[in-house]
Amino acid sequence: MSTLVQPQRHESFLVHRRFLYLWMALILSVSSVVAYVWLEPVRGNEGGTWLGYTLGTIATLLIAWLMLLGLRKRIYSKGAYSLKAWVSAHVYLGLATAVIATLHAAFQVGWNIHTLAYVLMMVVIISGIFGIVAYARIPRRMTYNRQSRSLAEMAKLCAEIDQECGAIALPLGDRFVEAVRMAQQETRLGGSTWRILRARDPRDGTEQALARLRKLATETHGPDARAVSSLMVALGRKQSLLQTMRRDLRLKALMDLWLLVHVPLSFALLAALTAHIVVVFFYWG
Amino acid sequence: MRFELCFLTRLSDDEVRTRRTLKEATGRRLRVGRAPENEIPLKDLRVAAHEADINVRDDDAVIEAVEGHTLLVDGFETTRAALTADNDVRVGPYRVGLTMPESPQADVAITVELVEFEDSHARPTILDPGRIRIGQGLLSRRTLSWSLFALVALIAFALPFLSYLWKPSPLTPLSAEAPMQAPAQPVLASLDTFWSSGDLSSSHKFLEKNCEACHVKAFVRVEDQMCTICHKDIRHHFDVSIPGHEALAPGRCATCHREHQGRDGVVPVQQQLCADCHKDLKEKLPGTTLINASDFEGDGHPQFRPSVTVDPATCAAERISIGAPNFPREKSNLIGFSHEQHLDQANIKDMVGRLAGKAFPAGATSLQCADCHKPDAGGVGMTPVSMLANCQSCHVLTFDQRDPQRVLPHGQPHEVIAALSDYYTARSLRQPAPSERLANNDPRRRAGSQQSEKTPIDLGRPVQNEIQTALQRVFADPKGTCALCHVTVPPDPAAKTDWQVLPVRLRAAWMPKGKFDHGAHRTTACETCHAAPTSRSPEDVLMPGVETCQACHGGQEASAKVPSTCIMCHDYHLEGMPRMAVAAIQGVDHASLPLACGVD
Repeated sequence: MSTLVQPQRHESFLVHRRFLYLWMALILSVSSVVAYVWLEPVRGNEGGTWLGYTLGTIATLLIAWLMLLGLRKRIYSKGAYSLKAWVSAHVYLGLATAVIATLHAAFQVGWNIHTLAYVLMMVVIISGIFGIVAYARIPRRMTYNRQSRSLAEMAKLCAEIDQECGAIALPLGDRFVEAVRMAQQETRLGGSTWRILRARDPRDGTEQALARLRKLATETHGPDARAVSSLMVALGRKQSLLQTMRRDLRLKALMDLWLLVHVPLSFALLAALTAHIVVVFFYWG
Repeated sequence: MRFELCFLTRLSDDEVRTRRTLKEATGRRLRVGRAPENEIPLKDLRVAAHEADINVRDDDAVIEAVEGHTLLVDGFETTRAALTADNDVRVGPYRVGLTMPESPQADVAITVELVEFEDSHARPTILDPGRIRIGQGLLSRRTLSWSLFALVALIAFALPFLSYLWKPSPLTPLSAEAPMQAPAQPVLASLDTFWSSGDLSSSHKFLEKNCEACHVKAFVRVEDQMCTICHKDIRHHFDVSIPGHEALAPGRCATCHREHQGRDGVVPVQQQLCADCHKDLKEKLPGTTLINASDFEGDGHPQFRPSVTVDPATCAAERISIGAPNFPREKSNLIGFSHEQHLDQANIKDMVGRLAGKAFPAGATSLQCADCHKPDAGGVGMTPVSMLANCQSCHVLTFDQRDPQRVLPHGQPHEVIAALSDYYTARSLRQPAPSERLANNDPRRRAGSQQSEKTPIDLGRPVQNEIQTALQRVFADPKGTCALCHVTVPPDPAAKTDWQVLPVRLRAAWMPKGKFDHGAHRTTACETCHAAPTSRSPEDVLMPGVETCQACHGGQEASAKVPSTCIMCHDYHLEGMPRMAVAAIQGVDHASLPLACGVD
């Protein structure tokens, strides 16, 4: 008798434990909506009714727990619940928080700190949704883009091409050498956030060198012409590598971008939420 | 010319390896550059194809940069320099110098040493970790997080709290005398408006920047005293001093009146606020005369019970349900009046036609409701109908067919009696002739004799009789002048009373607890609610039943009718009830309270 060993399949945090936390979040949201519609207070819904206070308390506890993910991530222990379980619960309960807090606010908005807290919370949650989408789609695109090469490998290839170009250009005229030098010296990856996200550098040395060489090639004859065409082929290869690398950086940036909104704004939310709770009772109606 | 080209390679600080090559040159000019055809080729991309020339002279050599290029000599840029063994002449990354040739065939030896290395591995990598990731430096998540935390804490809490501290201590509530003149605040003192959870109602908008006008104590709910500073005359809904009412006493003002809910106002319209008590008031409050009410739909609201005068002498009124067996008949001392008669065109067209263009609109042939019932100045109610304004254009108070221009005043009976006496006396003086007068009171006398005081001018029994007949006709004849509309009482010699007209006691409002806006209903015909065209008696109470209102008005949840909650017609704070402010602040003085309305 041989035992068949099933290969362990990857399970996304979204489907973790057969959507356990999705069901929890749904039950929480639906029961809040039912309570909101069913138990309509005499003077209409608002944060200050007993239902409003209840929903507000639940939302506050949820937000406090959701923010603990940042601490949990830094603890590398198995614990009772895996990090995957945490992330799964974080995603679904986070979405439920949007429903509960909206009902707590009873759709009332104004230019005040209470709405500030609500808007911050919604932006945090929406950025989180971007994060889910990013984590679901971008890694596949990164793999496809890299074609099993690492960034360091591609950078090494680029350096080799630079050297090759230098050797080819040595006997050529100054204008050719200038172009090659430009490709060597003025090619940079990344830079500002905007440049990383655009995955383009308008002053990219390699691109400009190629443009110059294309122009020079029309005026070059004889043995130099063969060298120029070799240069263009080499720089073309480098440029395509650079494009792949830039796309990779862009995809990586997209994976980071939502977090750049999600985490700092959740801290802003923490401040606004604390102020909201204190102030409601400070100037109690 | 022959020269030695010496490539120096520095192995360590002290050790230099020299590779010498004997080379031939066509002239005394040695070209320096990257191109292979140069006499001194420098294989580095940092060197131009032809960068400089060395002119070898008899006892020295001069290096000169080609046009467009420069040399670096002892750290200074120049285009020309003497080439010696000591000075530091740079062509690109190379140091070029002069030395003694080893070969006797060579005229001169030129040294070339690469001093600025360009190592492709040392070149800054294109993968600069500082450039290839977003969210670094000032934009790092940690920096951003704590900066935003601090910023929001400052705006949402610290600044408004400073504003709170800025306010005078102890906080002075608004002055009741001039509440609208809320003291102007410096901007910093009104930053706590960030804390406002919503717009104040329009009527309280002037307080929007003065949070402390209501929020006096931190962490304490707004107290009723803050409301009653201005609303000091606000009344209770019932007499809270009556035993059994204590449990029904309302909570705080803010229980019903929620502020910061927008401009629409703080008066709640939800019927549940009323229905919570009124839907089973009879069970909650045994002995009450009020009928349970829960909703304006169907049986949720009792039939209207107008307060009808049952004894005009005492003005005593009784609330009688419309449609009850003793359907309300009002005893107001007004008699003979018929709405049907007045609205019947055939009956009245001659009279109206005669007065068209004068008392009535030109071309009128019939009376309209609005000819007598005019809206009051506010447009909500109706002005009372009066003889002077509405009746006497047709009903002229003539009393003698022989003199149709003569009319009686519409006023007190003694004025009428005096007017009649005066009229008939004067009339008899103008026409002194009847034979009776001569027989009974002969004015002739003997010549020279004085008229005796014992024989005054006696107008005599005929005049008195005429006056009495006229009084009888005017006061008592049901088709006569007064008794057509009024109840009259003949003179009673024993009680020494003269003719009397009993005052008409029409009620100002049959349903004083229900507000009704005639102006809001002016597109509806009068007879939709008031059955005037078929009313023949002034005792008819021409009020519609609740079902008439229910034709258009439904309960709070009505979808095909006007949703109408209690507050549309009824007030909560009732005139005649004790002051809420008194109760809230100083306790109720039970002895001074009037009886509760509807609870006898």
